[in-house]
Amino acid sequence: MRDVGSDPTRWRDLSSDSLGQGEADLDVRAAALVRQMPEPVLPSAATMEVVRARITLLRGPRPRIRRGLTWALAVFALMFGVTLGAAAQSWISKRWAALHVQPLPTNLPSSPPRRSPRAHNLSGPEPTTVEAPAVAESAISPPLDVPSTIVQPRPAPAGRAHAQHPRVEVASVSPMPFSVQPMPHFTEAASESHVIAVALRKLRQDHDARGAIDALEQYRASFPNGRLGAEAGLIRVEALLSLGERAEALHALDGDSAIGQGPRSRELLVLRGELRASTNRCSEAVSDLGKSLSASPHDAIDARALFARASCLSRLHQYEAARRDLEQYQAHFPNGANAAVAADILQSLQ
Amino acid sequence: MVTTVFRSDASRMPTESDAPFEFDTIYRQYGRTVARWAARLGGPQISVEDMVQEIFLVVSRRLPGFRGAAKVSTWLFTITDQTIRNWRRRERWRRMVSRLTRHIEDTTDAMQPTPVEQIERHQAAERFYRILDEMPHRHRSLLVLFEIEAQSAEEIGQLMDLKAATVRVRLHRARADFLKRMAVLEGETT
Repeated sequence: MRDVGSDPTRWRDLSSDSLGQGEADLDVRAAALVRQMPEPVLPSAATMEVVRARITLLRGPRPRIRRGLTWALAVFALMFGVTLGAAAQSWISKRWAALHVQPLPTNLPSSPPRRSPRAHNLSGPEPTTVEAPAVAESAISPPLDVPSTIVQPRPAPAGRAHAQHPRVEVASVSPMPFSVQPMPHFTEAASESHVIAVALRKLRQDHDARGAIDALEQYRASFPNGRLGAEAGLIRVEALLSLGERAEALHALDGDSAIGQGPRSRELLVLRGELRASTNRCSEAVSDLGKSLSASPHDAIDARALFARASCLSRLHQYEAARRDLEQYQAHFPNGANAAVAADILQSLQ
Repeated sequence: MVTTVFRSDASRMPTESDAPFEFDTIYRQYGRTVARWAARLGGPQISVEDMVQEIFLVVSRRLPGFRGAAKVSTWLFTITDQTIRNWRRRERWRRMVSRLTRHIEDTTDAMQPTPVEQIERHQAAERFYRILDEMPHRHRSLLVLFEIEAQSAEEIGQLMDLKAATVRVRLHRARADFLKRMAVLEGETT
């Protein structure tokens, strides 16, 4: 019988003599564990004072916002549940109704079609004319996925009062009497431009270059031969440059075989030239920059091209050609961003 | 000595005639005792400083309603015990949501250069509290106070507002429970 009048021996105070045969092993291990327990690290007196000061600041009535927040969350959860329940009920009832619509015979005579009361709500409002449209519901599920086929209208007999309404027979079920088939080209173009617009918005408005690149990857996967491929490429390069991934941008431009075509070819060429120049690919850069130059330098692209080409030519030890480019730069862009540098270089070349 | 700390604190405990109780007085007298309870009951994962703050915030809110029906130490221990229990519940939930946290903490600890003895002690504490964490809360508190803090059944009874005999019976169950869980844990790890 266990003695409840005195405390049991603590594990840490156990000696091998006080242990029974069976319990020895576990108790010894527990004792070892307890003996190894480190002393807790308590906060210093200074820390305790800091804590007290913090408590003094935090003291006061319990903020009511927590209770208010709890109530708000509860109300929100309730409303969400009710809405979800209503939506589920609506969906189930629609499915139920759709499954129980009785199919109507095809090729009905000129009388208006009869519909089951449940199908009435699904098929839209009753047509005001008698003859058109005559909808035959031959298959029921799933109503929205089955494309409708419009049969050629029959010539109306002469003298009939409603001859202007051609009778249309729809071979399979459609919730709408007529369905408008979207023009495939229009849809594709719209989708393309939508993806491009998303990429542009991410890049220019949201300053999310990574998001823009993701959108452009999506574009490339969806439209491998898209009409806006060149535009997509340009946006991608811009995004890569804004991320500081110049090598990746150059790689993209290197692989662009159609870089010399299109409305922004000069811009792309000067960009590739600058990137190539920055990686010591001066021969290729000079070629790109030369192609991007106008006959008569006048715009910012020309300014960039002239300066970058001069830089490349000097690295290729073609000092005379470099000097000509810099002089041209000075002549056409006396207030250009690199005008002062150009003047210095020209002076050193003399 | 652990016991000395508790007994010396107990000798300074205010009597019921000291009411009304002032927060600053209670904090100065019991602050370190509460910190020690929190450290022991919470284990190595706890931030003692944060826990003391949390406990004494509760104390400051409940103090106007405290009329001294129980001993101050009992009242404080009840608050400490409850706060630790709440913290453990939150911690369990947090770990369930993000198991990564534990992994990161372990990795960080392991990376620090620590003397062998310290590592062993740390591991012992980890193991001890791992077993404790599986146990019912009341067993856990009892075992910590008795085995680690070396409190007697009488003292524990005063803190937990229980009879000493009840404490001893529960202690017996708690120890048996601990040994059983330790055997299971060692069986898993070996």
